Amino acid sequence: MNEDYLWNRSGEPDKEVARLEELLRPLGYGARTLKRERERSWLPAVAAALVIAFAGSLLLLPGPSADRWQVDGSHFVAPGQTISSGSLYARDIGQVDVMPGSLVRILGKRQLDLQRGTVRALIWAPPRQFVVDTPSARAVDLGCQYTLTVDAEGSGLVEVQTGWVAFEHAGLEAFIPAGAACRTSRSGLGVPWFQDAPEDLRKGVLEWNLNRSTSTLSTVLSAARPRDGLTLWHLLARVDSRERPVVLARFKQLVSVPHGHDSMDDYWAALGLQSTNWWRSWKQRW
Amino acid sequence: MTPTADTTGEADLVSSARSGDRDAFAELYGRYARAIHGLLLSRVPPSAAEDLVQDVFLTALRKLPLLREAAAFPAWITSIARNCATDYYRSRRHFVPDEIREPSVEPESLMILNSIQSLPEAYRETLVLRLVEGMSGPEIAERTGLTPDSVRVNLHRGMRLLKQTLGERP
Repeated sequence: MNEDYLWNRSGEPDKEVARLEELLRPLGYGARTLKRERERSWLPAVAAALVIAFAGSLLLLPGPSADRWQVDGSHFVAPGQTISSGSLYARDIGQVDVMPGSLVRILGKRQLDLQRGTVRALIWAPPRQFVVDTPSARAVDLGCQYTLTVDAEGSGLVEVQTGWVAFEHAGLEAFIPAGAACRTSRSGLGVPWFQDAPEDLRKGVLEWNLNRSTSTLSTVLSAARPRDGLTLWHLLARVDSRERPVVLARFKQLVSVPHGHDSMDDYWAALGLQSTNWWRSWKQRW
Repeated sequence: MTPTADTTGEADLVSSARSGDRDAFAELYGRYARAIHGLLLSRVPPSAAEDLVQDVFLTALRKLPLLREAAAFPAWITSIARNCATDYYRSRRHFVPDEIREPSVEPESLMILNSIQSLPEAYRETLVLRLVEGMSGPEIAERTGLTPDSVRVNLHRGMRLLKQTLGERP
């Protein structure tokens, strides 16, 4: 067989390949005239569909794919191997850029272990198909783009650019949407905050994540905007029983909760963070 | 993949489309429709492939703001196409033999396509793009995000396997 002809049609045409081309060409794009059941022009359909999707995951089964991560478009890495820099790519998962000086262990095609450093992930796999373990928490991809950094002490910081990420550790969870961030440390999982929140709130959240003091909590509550209901929602599940009524009262001042709706689910729905049912469907009801 | 003038220009195109430039998106449609059709055809009947091309681009348009790295567009949209093909089969309620539903296709052509569709994914995709869509190896690499070496290997091994498969048919 003429390999060059198969590759780029150079050289003498390979008879066998040319015959297959002739037989198959009528099946190619635009070559066939089919009796359509309906006329479709993509432009009007596009106009109807032109919405900015907030959550980015495909709600479909992943297609068949290669077994391993490819590094920088060249070689593959297998489970157990580590990488300290480079761009990891898996066709049905997404792309993970490992910043120089990091240490990432490949646990599988759907699981990485970020031991230190920073990764930037763009994930198009369905929700919960991809996780990154850190020393202090597991980051569960819900269909998104995010940056995850782990320092020398094993503390983590996730900053979400698009979609959602969930952090899980020791029975606690945090749900971090686009524009928000969340810290985690060996002492526990923090609550998320929007990165455009007032400075007092951002500092207060970081402090509260460490010391859980009542005065710090007060700072967070007083600095919160309606949008920071996300932070307060998470606090509802973390504060003790004496502090919860205070947090709830402030939450209801900032977020419009329909009368008679008093579950954590109701409070989440009231946040108006667009429909999250597509990944919440896997969760137990709060 | 080493950035070339074309890939750099395409990254600008993706960025513009991501910002809402419909002309830019139309240009991307023109560049990628053939490759997307080929990827779909490696999995679904010919009659379904052309409609699914539009579904893929509608999905891509909706989710494009989420694509932060413009250079990842080829791999990203091909992933959408593969998932679209999978969803096509999930949504089918009644199985209809493909041969019955493709009256306008030459039987031998359909038989060869069926043989290609029975091959491993990496081979069937590359073979459809080369033999049906008429794309060259370098074009296949550019449109799918695969390395040229991978495409070359897939073409070589795929052809060998296809010949074996066709040779075994009565």
